[in-house]
Amino acid sequence: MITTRWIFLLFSTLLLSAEPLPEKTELTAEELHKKVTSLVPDLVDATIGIFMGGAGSGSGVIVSPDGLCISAAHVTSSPGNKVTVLLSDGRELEALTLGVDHGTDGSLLQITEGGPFPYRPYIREKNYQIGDWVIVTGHPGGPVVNRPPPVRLGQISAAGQESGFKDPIVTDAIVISGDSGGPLFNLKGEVIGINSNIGMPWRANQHVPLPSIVAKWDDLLASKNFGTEDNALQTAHLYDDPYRQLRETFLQHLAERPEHPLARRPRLLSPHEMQAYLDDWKVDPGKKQRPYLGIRLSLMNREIALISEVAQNSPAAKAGLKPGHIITALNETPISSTQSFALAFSNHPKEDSLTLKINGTQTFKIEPTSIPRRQLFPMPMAGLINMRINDSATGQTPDSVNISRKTLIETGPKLNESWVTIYRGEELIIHGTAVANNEILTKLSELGDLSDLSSLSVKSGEKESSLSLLAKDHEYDLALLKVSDIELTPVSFRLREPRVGTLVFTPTSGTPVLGCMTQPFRESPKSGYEHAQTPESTTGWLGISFSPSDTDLIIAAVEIGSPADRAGFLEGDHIIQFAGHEIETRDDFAKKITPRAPGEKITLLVQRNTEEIKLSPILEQRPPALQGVYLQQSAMTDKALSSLSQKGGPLSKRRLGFPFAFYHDQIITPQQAGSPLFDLKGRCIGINIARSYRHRSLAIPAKAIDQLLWKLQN
Amino acid sequence: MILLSSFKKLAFFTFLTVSAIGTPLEQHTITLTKQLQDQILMVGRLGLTQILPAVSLGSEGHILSPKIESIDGSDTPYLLYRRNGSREILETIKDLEKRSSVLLKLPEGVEVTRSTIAPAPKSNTWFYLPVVAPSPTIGEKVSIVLSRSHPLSSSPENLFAVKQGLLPVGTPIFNLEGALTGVSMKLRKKDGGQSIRALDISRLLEDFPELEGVTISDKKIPKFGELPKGKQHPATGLIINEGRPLTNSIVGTIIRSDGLILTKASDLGPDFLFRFQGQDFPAALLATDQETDLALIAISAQNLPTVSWSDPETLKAGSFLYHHTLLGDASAENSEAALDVTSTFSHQLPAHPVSQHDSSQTTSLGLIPEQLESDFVIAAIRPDSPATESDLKAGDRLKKIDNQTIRSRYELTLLLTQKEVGDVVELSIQRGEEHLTRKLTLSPPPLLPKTTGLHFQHPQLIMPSVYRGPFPETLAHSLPLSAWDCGSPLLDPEGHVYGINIAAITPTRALALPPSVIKAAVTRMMTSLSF
Repeated sequence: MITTRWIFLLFSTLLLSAEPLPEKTELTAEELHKKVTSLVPDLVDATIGIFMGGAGSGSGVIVSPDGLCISAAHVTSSPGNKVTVLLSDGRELEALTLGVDHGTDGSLLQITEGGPFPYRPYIREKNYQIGDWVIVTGHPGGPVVNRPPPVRLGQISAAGQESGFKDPIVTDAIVISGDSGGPLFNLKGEVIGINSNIGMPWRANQHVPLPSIVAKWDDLLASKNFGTEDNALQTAHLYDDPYRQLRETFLQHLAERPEHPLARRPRLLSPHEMQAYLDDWKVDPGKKQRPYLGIRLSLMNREIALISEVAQNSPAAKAGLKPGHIITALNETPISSTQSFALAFSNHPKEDSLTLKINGTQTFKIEPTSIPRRQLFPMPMAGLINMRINDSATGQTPDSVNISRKTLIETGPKLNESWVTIYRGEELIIHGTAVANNEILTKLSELGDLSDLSSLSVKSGEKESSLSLLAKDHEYDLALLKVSDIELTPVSFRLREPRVGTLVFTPTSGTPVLGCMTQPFRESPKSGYEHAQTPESTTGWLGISFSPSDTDLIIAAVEIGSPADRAGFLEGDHIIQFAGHEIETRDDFAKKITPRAPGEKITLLVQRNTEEIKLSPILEQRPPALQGVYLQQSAMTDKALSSLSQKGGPLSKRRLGFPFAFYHDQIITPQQAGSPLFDLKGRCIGINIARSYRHRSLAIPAKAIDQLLWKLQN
Repeated sequence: MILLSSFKKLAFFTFLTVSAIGTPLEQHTITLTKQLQDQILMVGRLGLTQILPAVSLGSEGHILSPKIESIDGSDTPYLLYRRNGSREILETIKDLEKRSSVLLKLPEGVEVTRSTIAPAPKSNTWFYLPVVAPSPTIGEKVSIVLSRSHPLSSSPENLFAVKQGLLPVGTPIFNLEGALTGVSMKLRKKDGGQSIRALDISRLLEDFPELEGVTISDKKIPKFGELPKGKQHPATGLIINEGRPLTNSIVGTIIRSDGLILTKASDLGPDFLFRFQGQDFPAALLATDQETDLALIAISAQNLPTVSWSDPETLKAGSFLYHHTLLGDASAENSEAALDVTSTFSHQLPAHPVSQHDSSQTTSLGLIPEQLESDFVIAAIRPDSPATESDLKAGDRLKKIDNQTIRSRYELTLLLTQKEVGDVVELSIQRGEEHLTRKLTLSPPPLLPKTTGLHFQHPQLIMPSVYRGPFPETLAHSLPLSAWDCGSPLLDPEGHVYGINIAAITPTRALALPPSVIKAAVTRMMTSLSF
């Protein structure tokens, strides 16, 4: 049965050639929810974390019961490395890396002890297309204590088939450093891709298509190494490729014109010049076109759009326009300057005729022709190191992706009277959730000065009201406010913890769509992450070192930016007391500091010259020595992850450190905190509290809200 | 302060003269940069384009250089690159197998400042790192990058962590007084990055006893206070290439208060918007300029802050520069200072720099010639050229072309420039004792811009720009920019603007266009808007 269906799918994709979205039945939200929540436990079980010795960590997926796993080439680096894998039940086992293919970014590894293992099937041929729903797992930020790999939901926006770099599968299932090598699943639970790299926008997530790994399967099993370990050399040519391709194309066409001066006496041409020649020779007429009028405008005068030249035989000339004419309107839009003309013109639909009003009185109708849109290289290439953004795999627009999601959202219930927006003047500050007819909960830290709430107003639909503070809680960062002039419909809470994978949505306007619950409820640590490391690094980091050639307690070095640096320790300080106790040996010191965790404050007494000084540093998580941006870098700190995340969009200011949190992957803006989070049945399962990272938003679970409300209202 | 220009039209191009106050560390860096640029030698190897920094030590005229792998494992000699473009063969004195440095002999008659050596301090310290440009031009000096480093306490070997990373292995490292104090190591993922090994003087003398008389400096390293933090320039915003989920953002610099913005043309998506102080503005492309890769875009706005240009002539090699990466909503709170480094200005590059390895611009023999003394030796045959079909070999000496004796690379270039692709030339070759003649057809030269073919030795910490040249006059500096930072103003920590960043090349090199070039480009663009 299944085989028949699989063949059918294959057959149908062959028929459809290059068309993007063929006929397919839309999933309803409920069907999607059922599929995702039932698949999640098995997907999580087959996901592994990979520790590459000191060189970072990544993720992988088990694809056979005897422990054969797929991961990314830039995680496992080279064949024959002994590594440790972390299973989602907490077991740490030995594994051996097999073949790597740096060209596509795929690799294999074999777990060498234990078994049989939970595993997932993987596809052999491309059976996915744009718009397909996908689920991704992995270990973002590095493996974390007591956290199974979070799941995230997305859709395919480019259905590549060859490599993680040149022709990847692109989805909006959001991944971040640490997810590299982890699996991308379709709704059948088959592995269709391996997480490879990301671009800055949160929707730019790239995965190695499985078929490209399958194509080299036997060689990878035989531990072949495709490409050098130093895969930066692999990517170096990626930066030169656009030049080479452009130049090759140019030379090809130049070769057809042997009498051209450049053929006999070549010189170094800039990419712009080469492109200009190619445009003149009308190469690639299928390229995107833009409308052409044939007028030249001047920027010298700020207040008018003055035509300084009209090209001969151009559409503008044919329409009767002349130099000296001042454009005062384009179709219905009034024009006050060259800039406003440029803006209005860029919005004009490409093929339509347009009307220009000149000098306020005369009207001219113009039929634009089209000329190639000059685009220097096929795509801009910025991204992160070893991570490349490439949409030449498809010329498709993402509209087809958004349509499916919009449909799903419209079938959701309308709950607009249970949430509000809070403004300061014209500026939207934050959202709020109605918990009683005239009470709302909102994010405390965004309200600003609590003694000046009169500057804020609450809006619900057309109605507006002032607000006053009833109670607050700093741990959860929530404030209970009274709303006097609007009658609200309180949300109905669902107190039971939902299953991982549950679809969620936030019913505020402008929100991009659905998300899902990524992992079970747990605390959100203040530091952002608690990493699964060997015991020695659960010790807080102080940042001092002693001389290796001695046994004294004299500080030989203080690391820059460390807690010790900030607390005022100096080289040469002699440590004499720890928390009031005398210490004599380095052993004593080690014994006393090892049990202290990150976040704890310790007090040391040091002797500096003749003085005794008391210093109280607050220990931190040991940061990685190099702030790399590889997806496989382990133990990423909040600073590194948040900085990476911010390149794609804003994060909330207070976004960590909640006693109990609901983790989900729906993208919300910092202003959308305070809004309710609903499941598909319209029950409130939490109140959004923060956008934490690229791949994570936090809400306070209904369970915790319920208990908190009892406290606040009494 | 220069009075506002009387040309109202171009009123946004006023210069502010800057008095070079700077911090003490900056003053010190400027002085040391000059000193180090004289001390540091540029060394390469026959047949390779790579050029690395080296130092001369001791009174006997020895050069301590990073080891360069030869092109085919053979014993080809090291070369000393001179400022005038000539090269001299260096005699190798010692090449130990497990070491990353080699000892070479300074040729007779070459006068060069000797370096002193010093042990590295045990705690956090500053280092000066010499960096040679990817494709250095004739006469271009080494750039000096200032790096703050801390000891890797977990390691017993007296290693320091350096964040710029990516120095070729064996690069000599200097302390704040300009003494040789360390050497760069291979990238060890264990340490999380690249490390510098503090110089072990006794081990150096053990390996190279020839350096016995070298001066060991005991100068006390001066201490410097905290450096001022710069700020994001108010006249900047993010350009978001929209409509495509996969594209990047770049930076736009506002040059006119009613919404004229400059940015890098080749990284501009067909549809884009301008994000300024948290607000999004629809934007339209007005014009692009081919020569400079600048684009002029427009938004509808009033009273925007604009940049005032400072004269880059006031910058000295070693002057401190600053950069802020714009993030998210482009607000001041949401921007991120560049890595924990102090970046410096390096030098101005002319419009058509002639690189050390320039060959003919119009036609090519398909060979890589090396000029030694007065001879040309064929170092390699270009694999994609017609020369591969001849029986010419590496090692053949090229004596004449079409019966003309060629004495220098300039003469060679001149001759080849006068020919055309497809012409046949006759080469007179000497192979050992034999004299041969061969005919070769001239082919088009490779003609990729100078900064392609970057030698990435290690994973990069930045994303280079796709379009990295050619440009007219530019300012080279060591800010670790990435492609998405281009279009931003070139700033010093006090907020003066010296140009617009136009290309990110390596983590220790980026290019900016000076105001004079920008001004000319803007004039061209403002008068050529066509629709």
